This record gives sequence, structure tokens and C-alpha cells, in this order.
Amino acid sequence: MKTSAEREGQEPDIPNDSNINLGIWIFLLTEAMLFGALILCYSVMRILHPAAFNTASHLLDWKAGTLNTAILLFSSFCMAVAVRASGKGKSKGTSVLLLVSASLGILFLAVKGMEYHSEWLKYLFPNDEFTFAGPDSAFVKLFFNAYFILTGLHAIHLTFGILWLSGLGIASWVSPQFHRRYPNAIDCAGLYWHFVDIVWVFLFPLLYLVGGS
Amino acid sequence: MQGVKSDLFVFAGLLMLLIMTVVGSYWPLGEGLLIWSLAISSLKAYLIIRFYMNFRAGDRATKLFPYLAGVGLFILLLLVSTDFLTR
Repeated sequence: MKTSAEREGQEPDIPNDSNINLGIWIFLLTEAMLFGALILCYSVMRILHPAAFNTASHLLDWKAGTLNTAILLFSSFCMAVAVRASGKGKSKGTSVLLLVSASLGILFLAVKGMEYHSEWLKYLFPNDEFTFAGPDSAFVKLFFNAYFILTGLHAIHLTFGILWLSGLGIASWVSPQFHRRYPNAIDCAGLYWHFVDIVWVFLFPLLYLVGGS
Repeated sequence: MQGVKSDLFVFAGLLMLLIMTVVGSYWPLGEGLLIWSLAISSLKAYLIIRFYMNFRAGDRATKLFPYLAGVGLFILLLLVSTDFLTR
């Protein structure tokens, strides 16, 4: 007995397009709840200790944060164009744009790595060696706990995205049939990539700018 | 080509909003800075969801989930606020 996909001439192992889209949106919903809860925890701590959090926020490099935001926004633009190119069956163009988006993600991580390094050298990493000479040292440390958890989790998500986009970019370059066989693969990666961008769009002002420049 | 042009306009808009976020941090807004920053971030998120994630192109079931995420986050905020304000 033939499945509905076989009767419609599709390959039987590929799920329906709308089901794949629905699946990725459900996944993004769970991710939104994860980051939403963490951001809410951070906001409550900030309301309780505004002076310490403002002081700690000034210790971050807002220029690096602004640069990273611009990098991620540009990568989102490249990703959106890649999805359009994929829809038109332009496999080489799609591949290049996916790899550019992934490279911008790597650039983001490099800038973030330099920031982490600088904070480590200033003894701002919240371990036993944490040092802050000003008042409310314990709450400044609390800010850095939240900062490293939020940005670290975001960086892990971005790393998955980079691997995903790189894999798709290479597959798309090697096999021009890739788009026909997996029409939704690049759409789904695009949705994930834009979601990671949105998370950063909220993290940047909350962590870097909320203390005022 | 038309689609790429609109993507480019959205990107320019997002960069403008980024500049507004940074410039806003220099204004003496006090606690209003948090609201200002979150309002601009929400606008940026809307542009990305609406134009880059092609939210309107999805079917009804798919469109339901971004709204559900919003409702879920609102319930989370409501419960935490209630707990926070009544302590």
C-alpha cells in the first residue's frame, strides 16, 4: 500500500514541508521560553540591585558589543538572501551566502572571545579569583555570573548554527540536487539563525547599555 | 531582486535602530533607558520575524507558535511579577 507522499510523487522519507516548518517553530518556542526565563531572572536581579548592575555594566566593552550586534544583523541579512536564492534553485549562490553567514558567526565568536579574554585578565570572571575594588562587590559578581551564563549559552547556540550553516553550505555546493531533495533544510536553518540573532538583539542593551554610557 | 532590495531596506532599518539604541544610552533617561532599550529591541525582533523569517508566509498552525511563545513569556512574566511584588 502506497503512502500519501508516494501517491503524490514525493520521496517517502521526506516529511511534509509544513510539518517541518511547524517542527522548527515549536523548537524555537521552547528556546524562547529558555532564554525568556533567563532574561527574566537577570531583570529581577537588576531591579533588586540597580547600582551594582549599572556599575558592572560599565565594565563591559560596549563598542565590542555594538560591533557584534552589527555583525549578527549583517549575517541575518545574508541568511535571508540565501533563503531567497535557495528558493530560486541557485545552489552556488546559496552556498556562498550560507558560508558568508557562518563566517560572520565565527567573527562574532572571535570578538566575543577577545572580550572574554580581556575580562579574564581583569579578574572579572566570577570564580574564586574575582576581584572588584568598588562597593557591592558581591552583586557585581552576580552580574558577571548572569553575563557569562547568558552570553555563553548564546555562544553555544551560535556555534550550533555555524556548524549547521557550514554543513548546508558545503552540501549545497557539492550537490546541486540538494535543494530539490531537501527544500526546507535551508529555510529551517534560516529560522534558527534569525532566532539566535533576536536573542542577541535583547541581550546587547540589557547587558551592555542599561547602565547608560 | 525585489525581495533582496526589501531585505536590504530591512537591514538598513535594523542598523538605524542599533544606532538609536546606542545613542539612547547617552540620554539621561534614568530607569526609562531600560524601557527605551527593550522597545527598540522589540521593534528589531518584529522586523526580523516579519521580513527575514517570512512569518506571514507560513500556514495557520505555523503562525500560531510565535504567538504562543509570546503568550508563554507573558504568563512567565505575570507569575514572576506576582511573586516578586507580593513578597
